[in-house]
Amino acid sequence: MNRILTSLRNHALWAFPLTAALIVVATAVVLAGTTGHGQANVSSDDEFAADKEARALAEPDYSTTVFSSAADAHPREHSLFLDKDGFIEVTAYDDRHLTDEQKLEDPLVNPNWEPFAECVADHGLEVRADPANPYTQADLDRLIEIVNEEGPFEAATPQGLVYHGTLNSDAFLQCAEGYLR
Amino acid sequence: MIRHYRDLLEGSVPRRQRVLTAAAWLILAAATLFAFWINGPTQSAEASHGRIAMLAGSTGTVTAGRCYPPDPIWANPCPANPHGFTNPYPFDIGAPAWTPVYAQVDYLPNNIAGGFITASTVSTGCAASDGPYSGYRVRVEISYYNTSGAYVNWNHESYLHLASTYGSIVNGGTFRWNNPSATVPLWPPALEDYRLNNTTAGGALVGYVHPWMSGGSTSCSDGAHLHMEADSDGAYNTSRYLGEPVTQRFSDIHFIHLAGINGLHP
Repeated sequence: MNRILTSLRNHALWAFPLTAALIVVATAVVLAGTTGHGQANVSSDDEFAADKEARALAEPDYSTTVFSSAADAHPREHSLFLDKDGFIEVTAYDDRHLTDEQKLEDPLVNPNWEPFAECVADHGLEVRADPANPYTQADLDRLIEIVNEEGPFEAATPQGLVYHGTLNSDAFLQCAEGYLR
Repeated sequence: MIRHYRDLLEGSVPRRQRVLTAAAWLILAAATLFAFWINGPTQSAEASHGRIAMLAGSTGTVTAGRCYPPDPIWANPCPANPHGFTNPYPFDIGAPAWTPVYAQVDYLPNNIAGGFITASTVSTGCAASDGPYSGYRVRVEISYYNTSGAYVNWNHESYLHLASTYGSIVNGGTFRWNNPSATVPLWPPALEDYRLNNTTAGGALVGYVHPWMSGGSTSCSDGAHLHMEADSDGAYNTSRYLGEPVTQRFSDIHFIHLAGINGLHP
């Protein structure tokens, strides 16, 4: 009896890692074939390139198309000045490779801020305590914050993104289209 | 089992069993390495469910990106003054002057039929004051419609340090694009301006890499290259690495998860 138990024990010593190895290989092969690598089921750089090249060769089948006329869908308005949530956004003017502190020490002024400021002021959107002060990025940011309190101004519909403005957002966007592009 | 292995080490197990056991453990180690290799981070790992990519705008070599967790892949240690940017995920491709720059998307599922694409110059400080030296900035916006004709989502990608000789798409209004791999294209041929999602065969020519000229601000650029920035839905492709050659309309630079785009690419 003892001999049998000892024999079983000795076989288990090598059977255990060998069984684990088989399980690891089988699992890896299954995973490589079904997931992750996923949607394309490509497993090498060559196959990755072939996958890319296959899409380069794709030709549309025009026998039917979703739309038949340009009037079937309309592009969004004010694309440069509305963010992904429908709020007003203007790309920060100072895009130099400097830290915020360095930018504050040597501010960069957009010459179009003054005519923009006059334009929005004509619509009652003045944020400076004294309009004689030069317009700054901080003034623009504050104005955006005020106008955005009425937002969002854009909503996703099945037809596309549709702009729903207020008097203030209309004024801001009109001036931005005129001076901040 | 642990006690049995202790016996093995102490030599109370026959030599034949010891050799077999050692060999079995070696096989397990090899199997583990094989599992990592077969599922490892090859380029194919760049594709995953519902994730699309903005491809390299130009052919060149990866030169810079911002450090990001968990480990910076671009520079180690991260520079004290990180790469400047105004949109997320700045990425630089060293490309010679006049290298064409394309906007192109990849991995769209076949239920995305097409949409609109626009490209606009953006007047930032570097473009406005340093443009003649270091080039200009263009933002490309792509909207997506499905094969039922419903609007799905949009994203934008910025391309910096471009020459002022732009592609006709820039400041030219809104253009229409089709996905050639879609089950049904969005637009009929007469209304199709561009094809996207067809890698090297398509995309929209945005412009060319600016021939950098000395004399401008080194805070804006210090040599000819293409700088790309994604939007808030974007992410880096972490398999890119410093010094890696990338190819326009082929190499994935930014990954994007856009709500509503969930299918598998064909």
